[in-house]
Amino acid sequence: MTAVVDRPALEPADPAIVAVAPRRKRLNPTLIAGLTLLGLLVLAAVCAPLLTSYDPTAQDLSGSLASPGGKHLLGTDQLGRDVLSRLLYGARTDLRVGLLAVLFPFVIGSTLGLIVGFRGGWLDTIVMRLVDMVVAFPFYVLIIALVFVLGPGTRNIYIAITAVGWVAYCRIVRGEVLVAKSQEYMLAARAAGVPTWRLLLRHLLPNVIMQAIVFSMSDIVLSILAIVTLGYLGLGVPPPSPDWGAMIADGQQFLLDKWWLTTIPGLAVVVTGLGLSLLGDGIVERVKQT
Amino acid sequence: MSVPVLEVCDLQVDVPTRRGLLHAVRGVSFTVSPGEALGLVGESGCGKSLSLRAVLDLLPHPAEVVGGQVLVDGVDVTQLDRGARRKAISSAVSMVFQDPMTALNPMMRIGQQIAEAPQVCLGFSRPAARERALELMRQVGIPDPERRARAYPHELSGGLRQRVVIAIALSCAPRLLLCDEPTTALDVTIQAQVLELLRGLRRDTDLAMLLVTHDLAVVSETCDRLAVMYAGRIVEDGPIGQLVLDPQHPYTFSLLRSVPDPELVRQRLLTIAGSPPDLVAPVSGCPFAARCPFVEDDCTAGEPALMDLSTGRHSACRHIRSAAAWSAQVEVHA
Repeated sequence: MTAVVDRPALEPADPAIVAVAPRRKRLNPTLIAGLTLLGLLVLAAVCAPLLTSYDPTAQDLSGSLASPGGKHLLGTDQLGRDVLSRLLYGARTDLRVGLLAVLFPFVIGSTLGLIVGFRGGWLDTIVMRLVDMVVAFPFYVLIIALVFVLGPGTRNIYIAITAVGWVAYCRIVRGEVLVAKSQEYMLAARAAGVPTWRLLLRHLLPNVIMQAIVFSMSDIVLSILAIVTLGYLGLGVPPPSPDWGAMIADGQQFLLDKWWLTTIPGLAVVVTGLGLSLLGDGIVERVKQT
Repeated sequence: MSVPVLEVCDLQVDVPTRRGLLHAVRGVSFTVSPGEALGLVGESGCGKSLSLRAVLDLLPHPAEVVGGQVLVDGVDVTQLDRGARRKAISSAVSMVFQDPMTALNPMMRIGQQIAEAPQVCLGFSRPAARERALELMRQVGIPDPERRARAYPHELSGGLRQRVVIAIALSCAPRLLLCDEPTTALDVTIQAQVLELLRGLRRDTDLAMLLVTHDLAVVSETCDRLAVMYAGRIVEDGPIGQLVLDPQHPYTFSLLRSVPDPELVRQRLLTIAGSPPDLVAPVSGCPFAARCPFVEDDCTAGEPALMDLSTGRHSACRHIRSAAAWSAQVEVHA
């Protein structure tokens, strides 16, 4: 095998043969915008104690419903709690819960989709019928019902969102696997005797996971909205810990004269959603470049 | 005579379809000796690619082997269990795939892909496998292997990609290379380079080759022997020079006459009318009878078997004549 082959001459000067595309792909504006927006949000959440000196749960009934400006930059709510510090600490809760509530379904759904898509047969049929069953219910109805049964609290929110959210990842990854598994590089790897686990992890997974990652970006928005919705319905993060949904719900009764109580946390939700959507789109663009 | 690297005996592959069982490969036998190159030609759907896949135990679902034996180095791999079979096959046989666009993993660097099999199957250490990958890249004529090893497949041209595919096929030091239309997806100049590379590999090593193609020119440049498949069977085989000059089956004759030959501009280019028989229905008589320009009355009575001719040649035609006689008859009809 070490013999030197009389190889056909390759003209090194011929750009068609030798040209190697530029290796570094430039970041695109969408991706940068998304990363910046989210970065600022995360930074604000992490640095919350530095940005405000008020305890988000400390009540001051004598100073309730203060207007923005003065001692409290964004005013106070009906219990006299500082809105700015509730907003910042609320970002901690909502971003963390939003991220984790996507991580579990992402991992579970993708793994399942990878396995059933690759194996096919009865396992595939069973799992996909299960997916159909979950999809048949409206998203919020199922989540609210689950949280209602399990009781409010962060852990149960994770469980409810995971139980409903895995189906999307399972479907996406399975669909991609069905396309990718019959590609010749999969056959080539199998022909070379590459073990199944390695086939799944090294060859299949990197080729099918991108769609799921992109979807997870918009899914974080969805799960933050779900948490906010649950908070609004009183099924979210239990009081008094700060949460944007609960802030909106609490401020609702003062909407006409104290509009900032609902609008500011609402804007925070919008900005987070925007940042994540931009990030998702940016990732799509970057993937398309290859 | 040494033990053949690959011996296929009476291989049968069925594909279940909605209309019933499709007998795609109906008793194909051939052998490839060490260092020998066998060409397998035939039109689309004649079962050549399925035969190849069956040898590698990589049949696409739902096709399956329903009969026959596949002997690799004299060991019948169809009798082994799955793990042992895969090991026996992959240690001796590897495959060059048709389309270098899809035969490479788009998310893995070239170097990693070439190094994978030595690492996983031969137990090479990581640095040793990397060294082996570079050596293979040099062997298949990839310039600047250190830099190319870090590239992804989309960064390479089609010809380089096919060289990478060949390097991967060579990575476990196989004794038989199965090539499934290795040049079909390439343009003509690159085709010539890749064929030259394959010929060079055969010259310098004891590598045997089984080349599946529908391109007679490719086969005649590369192979020692040729087997012509039609409707899931081999209808003629023999040494390539004799077979091309003096075909002993009307199908081979028609195939050869349907290729434009610049030296025979005055000769009519032949087309093969009709299409191959439906292999779901049982085949009665010679499967080529309906399209054969030389068909006779007894051709529809029973399917002719592959018969021994002189000097290692076989044909499944009952009415063998010389190519000259066939040519004359075609000209008269025209």
